[in-house]
Amino acid sequence: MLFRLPFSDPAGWSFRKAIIVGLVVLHSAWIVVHLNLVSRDLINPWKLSGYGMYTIPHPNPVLHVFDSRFAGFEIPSDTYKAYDIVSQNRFFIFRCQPITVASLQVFLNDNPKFVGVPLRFIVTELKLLRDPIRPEREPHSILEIRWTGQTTFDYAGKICGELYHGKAELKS
Amino acid sequence: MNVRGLTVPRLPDYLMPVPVVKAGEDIGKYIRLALMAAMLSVGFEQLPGLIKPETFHWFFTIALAIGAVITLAAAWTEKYSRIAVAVFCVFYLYDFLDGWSAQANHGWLAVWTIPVAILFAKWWEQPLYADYLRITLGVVMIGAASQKILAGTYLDGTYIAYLSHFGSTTENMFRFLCSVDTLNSPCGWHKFLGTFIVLWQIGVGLLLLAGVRSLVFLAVEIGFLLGAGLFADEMNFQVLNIALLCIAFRVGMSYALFIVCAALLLIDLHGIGRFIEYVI
Repeated sequence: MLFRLPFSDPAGWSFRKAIIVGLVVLHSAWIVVHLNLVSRDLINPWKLSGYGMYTIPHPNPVLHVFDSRFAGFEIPSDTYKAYDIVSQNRFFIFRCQPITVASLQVFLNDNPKFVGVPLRFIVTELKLLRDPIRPEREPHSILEIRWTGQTTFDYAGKICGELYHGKAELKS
Repeated sequence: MNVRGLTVPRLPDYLMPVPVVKAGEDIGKYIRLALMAAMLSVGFEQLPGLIKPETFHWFFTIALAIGAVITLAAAWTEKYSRIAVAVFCVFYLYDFLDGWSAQANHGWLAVWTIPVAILFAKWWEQPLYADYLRITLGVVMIGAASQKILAGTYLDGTYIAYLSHFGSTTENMFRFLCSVDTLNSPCGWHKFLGTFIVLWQIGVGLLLLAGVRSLVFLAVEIGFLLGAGLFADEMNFQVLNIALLCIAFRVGMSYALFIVCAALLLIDLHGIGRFIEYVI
């Protein structure tokens, strides 16, 4: 049994039918754009309405914060608030978007004990490796901040092979 | 039911996955029941974020639960269905858009499909809405298959091999098919399963777009979706798909299937894997 295509009731056009056709076109076009963005590793395939879940393990990005004064010392994640910096960076679903200055300022306001402390932020992602097949958490993005005054700092980072840097100031 | 001389006992009506409509009976209530199941799946998806005691007062949680029950019940009635769907969409879209970047594809599919019902006074009688769901689900199936081909992890069996050895309780159900050497080079069975899943999605997508409306097709796809949900230990998306298919095929959802879906959503709150571990 078949529908009459493209619509069961092909008689004429109406406002509602135009909306429906528009939504289908928009949805289909977005899926193509999503595929393109995924193919260039720019977004997390599990998110943003592209239906790429279960194609790779969920990258599950995690933010790690290190105190640069002590080599390799990762600050325990239960000793600081990180939700705001993670949510302001859209949970890192845009994989090549640098950590924003505004989110750094929010992080430092949320955790005033880190003002004046040189910090290193590393975002890791779960990746599917081969030979042999295995999941492994790998660094994806890195950012360092160095204080130049009581409320001013320089930052420099690397993401998707691109370097970026700048100056910023604490905002209350 | 007779099959070449054999008498096959017929299931009671209330156990049929597809509603058995008697002459003169309104099929609309079964179609509205399907949308109710879709809304329920969305509610369950958002639930964990809404019942955190540290975020919300218990009074809010109870008020939300009562409101949800009333809205869902109203969505089932002929008189208030449209307004109930509209109320649901207002709250859902507000919550959804607040954290859009963290939302799963399940939530996005609901955004693309459920609010469109509001366009029609009696959406359950509208072939246009059913057509929209059918075409949308067809596009989604093709899109999902394209993502799998693009990732390159299905046709060569990599993802099934990965799940078989590093997945949760249900995800590793196909581990027995191959030795641990499949991690170095995926075995034939894992390649077959990965390829089968991709071809199945393409096939279903094309059949939906072509407008095939056979009940056998619907029943087989419902079975496949339930199996996929069990495998991936994720029932919300599958229940939403099943419910939308029931509307797209214009047959609605039987009471039996609704109860199964609701039970699966409840179990899914903690995960099917954990449920199996608890029972076994």
